[in-house]
Amino acid sequence: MTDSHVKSVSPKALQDFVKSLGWKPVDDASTDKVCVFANPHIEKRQLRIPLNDTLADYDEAVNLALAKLSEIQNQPLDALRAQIYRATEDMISYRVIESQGDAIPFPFALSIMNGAKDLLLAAAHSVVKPQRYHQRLNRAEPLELLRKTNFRHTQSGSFILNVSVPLSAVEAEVSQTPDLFEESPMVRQTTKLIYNALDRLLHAIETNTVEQTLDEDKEQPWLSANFCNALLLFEGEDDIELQVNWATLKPEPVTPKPLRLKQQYFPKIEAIKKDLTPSAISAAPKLYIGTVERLDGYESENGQREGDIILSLFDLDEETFFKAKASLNIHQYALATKAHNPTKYVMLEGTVREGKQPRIITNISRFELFPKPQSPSNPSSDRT
Amino acid sequence: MSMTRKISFARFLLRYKKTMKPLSSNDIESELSYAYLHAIASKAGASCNNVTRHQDNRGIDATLTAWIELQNEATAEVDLKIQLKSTTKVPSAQGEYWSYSLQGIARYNDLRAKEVATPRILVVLFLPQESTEWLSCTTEQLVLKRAAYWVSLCGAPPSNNDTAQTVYLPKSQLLTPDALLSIFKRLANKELLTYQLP
Repeated sequence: MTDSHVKSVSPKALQDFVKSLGWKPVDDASTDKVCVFANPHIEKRQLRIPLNDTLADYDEAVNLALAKLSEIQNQPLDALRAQIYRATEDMISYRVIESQGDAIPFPFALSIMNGAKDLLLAAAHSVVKPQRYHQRLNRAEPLELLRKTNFRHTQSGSFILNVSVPLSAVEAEVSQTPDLFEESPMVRQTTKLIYNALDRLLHAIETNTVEQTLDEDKEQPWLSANFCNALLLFEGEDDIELQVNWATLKPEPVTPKPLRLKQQYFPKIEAIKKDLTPSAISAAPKLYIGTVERLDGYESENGQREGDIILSLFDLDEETFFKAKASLNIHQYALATKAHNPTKYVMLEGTVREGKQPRIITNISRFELFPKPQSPSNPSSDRT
Repeated sequence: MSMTRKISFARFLLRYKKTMKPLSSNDIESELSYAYLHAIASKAGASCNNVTRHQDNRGIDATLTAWIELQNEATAEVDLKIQLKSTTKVPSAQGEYWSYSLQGIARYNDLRAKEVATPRILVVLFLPQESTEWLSCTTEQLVLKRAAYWVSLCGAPPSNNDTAQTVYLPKSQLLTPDALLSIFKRLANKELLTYQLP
């Protein structure tokens, strides 16, 4: 087991695994560094599981424990390691159902891998914040989940991409090592979302009830444009079968059935994706706070300046920054000129168009200094 | 034979071919030190596992496991990591200690680390200078000279050197089967073996 593989197995997960094999902790023998386990059915044998993955010899100690377990259980070490992964990681398998031949085009294989990655990211973002469209897929927890995701061995005789994520990949806020038997960890919520969202989507497509299905959970959308976009990466010549295996240490009441993503569904998925992206949705104006970065206006006929400015805006909903370009009238431009200072801020309400930065912000219904300065003589002078 | 087994066998042969070469004097020293350790451990009832031989006579790593009966009649399975060295240099005495120059500061730091799951000790086998004296064999006995000493460097101070650090092995800590058992018993009772400077 390489160091990176060992480190992906948390001390808690390893302890839970040996417990699942009937080993019990021996409190008298344990120290602050190792937990000693004994098995009532196996005389005079003990396992020493390190308690902390920051120990200098954590990987050696884990390998030693596994070597002993392999010998005691009379099980090859590789098979034991595979058991540990199955016990502590959710696995999603993508199987290419070949229509012919014993190879698939390399670009298609790459596309499937990217699709698997994007599906994880989209689903994890929806777990953090359910919405129809994630402007950016760069939140910390989903990225952490992706970093700890593993690409497992494929199975001979077919093209199967196995992607597994340790249940402990994303730490809970209050605990260093989340208890696998508490409420669903983020990883489990993500893999469940992938399965449930795809299941519902496929059913909706097959029964021609897409609109009704999407309308059912408007407040907590289960499907995002990003998710659909990720699915589109699986478009090719052959159908794809998705199979989820829950980590055996945290089973679910229902065994998930394989889901078949048929090539004929992709035009519909493309249409759904377009429906869910903001440019198709009649976007309501939103409030932003930001700074004026650049003044690119011009002198109008009456001698006053108006025109384009570049802003650095903070999206209060997405909690992200982005650059935007706005076209201001004379009064707004005058305020922007006052605000063109690293210590001053503006608040504006408008509609941001998607695209490369700087994004275009239009329909500006509100543009004022923020916070509003005190101006008793003319309270409306700094607002347009 | 399946393709997988053929490939495994081919790899084994290649590895076998690589390691099959005449032993240098340093290699013999190294192998004798392992034979010494293995004999002592076996007599003490401990198994010897995970043996790694380092190149250029940089020693051997081994993990010993012993089963110790505790006072409450339970049996503790205890592991001990050994960093094994051998030398033909005449050991330099410093009072009740033998001084030894341990090559490799990384190795020194590994041995002195306190936050470890498996305790570790350094064992140095002092061989006679003349190789003809290392081992003798008659119908009556097999004699392997001369003696190995052990020391725990746990908690030793950091080194200011670049390549080597002098360590001190107590003359009282001759590695014998009884001494090894005593080490295991102390570990089974959760005792931390720490380094004592002269």
